[in-house]
Amino acid sequence: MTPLIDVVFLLIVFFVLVSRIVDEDRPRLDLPAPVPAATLISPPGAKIIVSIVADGSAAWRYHMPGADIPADAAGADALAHIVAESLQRDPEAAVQVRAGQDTPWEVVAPVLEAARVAGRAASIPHPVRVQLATTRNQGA
Amino acid sequence: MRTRGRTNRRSGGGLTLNMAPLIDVVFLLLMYFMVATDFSPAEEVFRLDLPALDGGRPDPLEMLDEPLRVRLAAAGASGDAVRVIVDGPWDVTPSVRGLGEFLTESVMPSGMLFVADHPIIIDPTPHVAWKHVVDAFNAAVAAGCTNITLETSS
Repeated sequence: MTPLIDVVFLLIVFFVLVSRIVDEDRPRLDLPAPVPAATLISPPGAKIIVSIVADGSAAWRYHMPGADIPADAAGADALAHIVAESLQRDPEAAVQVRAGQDTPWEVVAPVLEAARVAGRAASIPHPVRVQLATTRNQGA
Repeated sequence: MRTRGRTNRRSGGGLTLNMAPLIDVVFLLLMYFMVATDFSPAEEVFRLDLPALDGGRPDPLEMLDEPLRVRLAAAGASGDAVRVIVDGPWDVTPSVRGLGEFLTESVMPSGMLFVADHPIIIDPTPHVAWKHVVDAFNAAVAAGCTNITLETSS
């Protein structure tokens, strides 16, 4: 019986690990933690996750699973294109924006604008659903 | 193992407990719980709808009410702090806390100045840190506002 239980547990651990690796293509960021938070638990459903990552001292880049785009005007256009393709595949998907606390607004705003442009390009029948990622303050 | 078991049986030593599979299972359980535990802080979200049709922005003339514009400007020696300015004749302390207090006192049902879906536009200057934008958004959501947007064009 024991080898059978071993194999079953190994299979469970294997699938848990694989599912986490597939899902975890998101960089760790020092997300804002408003107190007291009026945030929501992220609703279920498809998400297009855009992380804004510091790339050196003053440079930034937009990170999506499988894509790294420089945070400049051309990058914002490329981002809008990728998000539009994703919205065409799944118009109900939400665009989740993940940015660290000290990210300047001038780097975040183009992501929201790209989401808006993408929604228009994909002709989705409703406003683009955006989620602003925060972290729950452990002391709150 | 087998040899020892046979030896025990032959010598009439009774049952022995084989520890190796037991330790295997204990380690597997340990691994399972380590993998299943999420060590990263829990992430939560604010929801925001960005109008995508008709040129991408709501037509101000179609709005029933003039939107309440909340401007955020970088402040302090290092630019790390924020100054909050609410357009209009309102006497608001220029901080995120002041904004929260103003909205809580103004938005129905606790206040009488604005309905909950009165449009609020948060308009940060380029160098304002994202945490301040989120704090202002949080203050508006906590006050009961349901129609908040971020100005991305300026």
